[in-house]
Amino acid sequence: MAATGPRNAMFPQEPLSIEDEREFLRKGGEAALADALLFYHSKLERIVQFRMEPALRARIDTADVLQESYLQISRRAQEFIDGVPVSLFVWIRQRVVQTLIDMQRIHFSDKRNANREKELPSTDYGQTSCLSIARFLLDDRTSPSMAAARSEEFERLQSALQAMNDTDREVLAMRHFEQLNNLQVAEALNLSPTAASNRYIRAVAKLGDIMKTLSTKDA
Amino acid sequence: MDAADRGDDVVDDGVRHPVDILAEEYAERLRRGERPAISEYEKKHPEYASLIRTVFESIATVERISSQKLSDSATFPQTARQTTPQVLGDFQILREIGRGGMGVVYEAIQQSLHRRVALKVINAAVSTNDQHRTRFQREAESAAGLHHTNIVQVYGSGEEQGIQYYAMQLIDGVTLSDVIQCLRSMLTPNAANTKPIYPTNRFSIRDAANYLLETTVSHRNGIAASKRELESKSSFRRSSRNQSTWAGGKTASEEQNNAPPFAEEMTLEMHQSTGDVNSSSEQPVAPASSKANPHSFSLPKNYIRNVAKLIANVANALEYAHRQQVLHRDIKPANLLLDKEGTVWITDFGLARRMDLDSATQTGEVLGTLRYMAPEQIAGGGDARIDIYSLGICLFELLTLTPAFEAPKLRLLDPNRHSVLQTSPLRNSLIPRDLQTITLKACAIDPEHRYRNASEFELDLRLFLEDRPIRARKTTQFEALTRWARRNPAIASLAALSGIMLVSIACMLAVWNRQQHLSLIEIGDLYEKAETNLREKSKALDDVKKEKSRAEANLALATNAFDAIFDNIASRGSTLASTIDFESEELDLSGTALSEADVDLLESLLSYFEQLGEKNSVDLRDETADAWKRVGDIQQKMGKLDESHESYEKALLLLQTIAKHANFDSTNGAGQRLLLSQIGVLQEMIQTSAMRGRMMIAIDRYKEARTLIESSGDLAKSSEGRFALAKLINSIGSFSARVQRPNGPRVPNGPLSFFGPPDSRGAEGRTGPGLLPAADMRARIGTELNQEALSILKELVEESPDKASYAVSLARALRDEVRFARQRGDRSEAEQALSRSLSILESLVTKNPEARGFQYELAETLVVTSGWRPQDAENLDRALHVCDELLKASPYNSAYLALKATALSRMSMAQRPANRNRSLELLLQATLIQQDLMDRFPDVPIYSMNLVESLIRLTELEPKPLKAKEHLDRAFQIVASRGGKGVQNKLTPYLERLKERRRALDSAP
Repeated sequence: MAATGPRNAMFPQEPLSIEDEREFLRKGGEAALADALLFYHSKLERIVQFRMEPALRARIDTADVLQESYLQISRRAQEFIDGVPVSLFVWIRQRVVQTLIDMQRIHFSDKRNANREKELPSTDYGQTSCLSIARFLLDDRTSPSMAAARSEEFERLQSALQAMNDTDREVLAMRHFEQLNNLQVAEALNLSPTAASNRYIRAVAKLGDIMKTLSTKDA
Repeated sequence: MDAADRGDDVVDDGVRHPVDILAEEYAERLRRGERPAISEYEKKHPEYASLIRTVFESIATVERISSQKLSDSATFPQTARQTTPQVLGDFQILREIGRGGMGVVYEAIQQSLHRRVALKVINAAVSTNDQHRTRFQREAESAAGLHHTNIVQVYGSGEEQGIQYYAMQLIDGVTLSDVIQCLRSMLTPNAANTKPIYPTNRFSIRDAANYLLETTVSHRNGIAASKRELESKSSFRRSSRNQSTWAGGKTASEEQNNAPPFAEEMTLEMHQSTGDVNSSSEQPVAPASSKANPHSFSLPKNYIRNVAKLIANVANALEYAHRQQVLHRDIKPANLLLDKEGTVWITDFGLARRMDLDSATQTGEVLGTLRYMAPEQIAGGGDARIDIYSLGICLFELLTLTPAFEAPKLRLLDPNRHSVLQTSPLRNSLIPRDLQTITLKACAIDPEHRYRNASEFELDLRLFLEDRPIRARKTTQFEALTRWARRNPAIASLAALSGIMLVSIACMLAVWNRQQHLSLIEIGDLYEKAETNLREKSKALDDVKKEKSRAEANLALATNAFDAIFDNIASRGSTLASTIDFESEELDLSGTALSEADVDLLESLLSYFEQLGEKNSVDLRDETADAWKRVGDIQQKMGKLDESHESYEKALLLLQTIAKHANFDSTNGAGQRLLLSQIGVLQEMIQTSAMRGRMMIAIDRYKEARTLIESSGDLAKSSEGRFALAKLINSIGSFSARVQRPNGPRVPNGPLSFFGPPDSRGAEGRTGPGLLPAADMRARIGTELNQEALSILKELVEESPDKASYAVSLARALRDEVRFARQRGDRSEAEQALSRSLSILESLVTKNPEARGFQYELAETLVVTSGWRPQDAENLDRALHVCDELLKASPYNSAYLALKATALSRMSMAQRPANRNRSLELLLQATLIQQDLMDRFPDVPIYSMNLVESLIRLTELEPKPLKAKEHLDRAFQIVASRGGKGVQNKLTPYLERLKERRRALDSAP
């Protein structure tokens, strides 16, 4: 039954130029946009999962964020059609991340304290890669015997990540946790593809060093 | 993108870092589940070997973690299915029978039990995630607990070789989605032939389709019925070969007519079948209707009834599951199986859910799921009613054979907006209106408008089947509602906002309650009662009206809550008790007084009023003005005179704006009410101004108010107008008496100025603040004013002898008259006025023995008209008696306690000449009460003031100098340390008196 539903504007699998994407949305209207969102849905879900504050997770679901984002996106689709200098995916991603940030702000605004203040997005990209990465990397390494050392380790990893260049760290997060490709990263961060690529290698090598220090200390 | 194909030469594309290109490829391979060796890359690119090692190791870690931590369905390639082993634990796999977003279904043999089962093997992509794994296990367990004739039994679940699976009852049947597809192609001549999706030689989709079209599916069929249907199955076979007639169901129907069980039901069906057979055999429906409308089919009545029965059975099963707290979450035709016995089965219970959406996203299967999901489910929430919605959509599609939504994908964007059903196929068809109504009710966008539970849904379907009136309203509330929401976005958002507000009020009540411990239980009850009431009333209303009225009623409820809170607050702690509404039912007052928390509470409520007013087209300025006035009242009673005046000014300004903008007409009721509201505010402003010592302002307000009354001839003549005027005159008059009152709460002295007689507007003799008119002058004018008030009130009481508020006002004016007469030295006049005042109050008390307000008023009158003279002792004794009666009912009521303390203190004065010890004793009693009040309400100035006053008198009465000094020190301490700014300001004037007393004590021997 599913296959028989109307599928007038299937989002093409192969990459389109930005102009083609605009044309696609302009002609296809909301159905086209829905197609595109559906196409990117799980990627976006992943991004939200990665970016969301753990404290917020208890209150809202990834689906809530995406739902709200899609609403915003469908209201603002004209902005993309009128011309933004990034590809459709990168634009959609930015909207989703922005929605997430807004939602976090709303949810935390009532109970602001110094601690939370620190966790609120502060970089140019309004994102929290540093903490998110540290959290993810360390969650994996948590075993009962390590639980006690965990918070100290977390601090160290976090400060090591903090020592990284903001943009490098962001590049790293986008490439691996969000699974963006180099071109998308470049667009999202307004870098040249070459610069994005170089930063990526630098960041991932640096991360390797950090992880190595941590594991030798464990041993 | 594959490493092997690309060779080594493309490592440098001139744009990216060469290692990046390799790294990307490496990461992609990891994500595909490969385990590429790092050394492979090192060997190929020795120039980057060390960088590759560092970078790749790091990537391997990050990828491993990120694939574990994040659901990686997006990147899991659909092709990477594990090769299914021939044996999985206890199960020997025979063949694949179906594929879904979550996995593959096999027919298998459970070797230990020698039974055939359906084995669903979960996609590796879905099962990699730990969280999903646990959830799967948990839900498989809860599904295994479901035993129902229409639910596919889950036998158990397990995990072998990293593959998760669950075993369930094998149903020899087809899905309803296949049936729908088949019917469409059968009824639409030009449609492409459908190929059977489940290639089965046992029971074909077409058999099922014909079955639905021709026969009646018996509900809860016993073995006899099953057998009968098995026999009749041959007819499906025949008809399936004969494509042209699905109307040839005569045999099947006739066969059924002979069946003995369920006689009643069968009779009904017979009737239906016969009628149907006639019409359908004479006139093949499909071709005829397709001419008229390609999208509408005219389906035989039997089909419609069969569908209704199927769905009723599914609803019955859902109800059963919901009672066990198991939601299906993915009811769709593809999850409903129809077997050859005509039984419908729900499959995948509790197992299909979000993760299905995850993994299905890329395959397009999500479209199938999205179409049946309730709007709130798409948005990530929902309760049991999501299953009702989904089942409603199934019903819709079975009845119309068209998709419920033209563009289900759009529902992803904005489920509420894009969930408007394509109702035309339903309406155009020959589907009975009742069934249309049932369908639309089940698929209502707002869960509140759906059936509350599956059994209600089932009941309506059964009522429909029995040709009895259904319970769903026949109005097309669905369309009406959406239309209404579009038409009335303001009210729709009002509904939302007032909802928020109610929650906030509830929260505030909770907080407040904690602070005030004793007070708010009654309010809570009131609130609850109002809500229940509202709920009951709403039920009775039509849906559209209901929504609108709910918005309005919520507002009303909020206003009522405000009223209740206010009444509670206002009737507490009023030593100046003046605004208790005697017409309304007395609230059983609890023992609290006004506090900062009250003001905070009211102010926050007020901000909601303002918000409501701003966000909605509804004009709330009236309510806001009223709220401001009430806040002013509270502040006034708390002694926050400046703040109170400001609040009143806001109220007045609002009212004046309304009067200016509205087509103000003082002759109609609304206009008069508006005038009276303004006068009411002005009246309070007179009071605050006088209390602040700003008599000039008080007089201006008085004149303003009087002009307002007289500006409208009708109002001036009306009893309300006259009453308002009398109250105005009384209050301005009584203030001239109060400022020189020797006893009682001391009003801070301020510049007093002359005020002219009421009729000398425009020619007032303003004098500077330094020029105080002589006391007798003020008394004279006060008397005149009070006489005027008295004569109006007497008239009013004569006209309406039963109106308590007139009577009370008259009693008060007479009480003031007592004061004026005493000032004039006219003792007999004073006694006469007092006895009249008392007799009015006494008769009120007799008439309303339950109304404590009157008793309080009586006691207060007895107290304030008593002085220090021994002959006053009798009245004071009476007052004390009344106070004790009142306190018996509400032992902590602060107003009663304060009055009792005042009575004791005056009694002490009256006893002083005769019995000094008794006097001392009484005063000590008073201070005990006053101390308690002050401790409980540190921010209410009057309580601190009363105590300080009493302590000063104690120092005078106390014969032992040491004790007297103690009292004095206590008084000093209170003045020095008490309360906030408001209280402090009120206490400062006492400092001089205290110092004076200390000097007197020190100089005493």
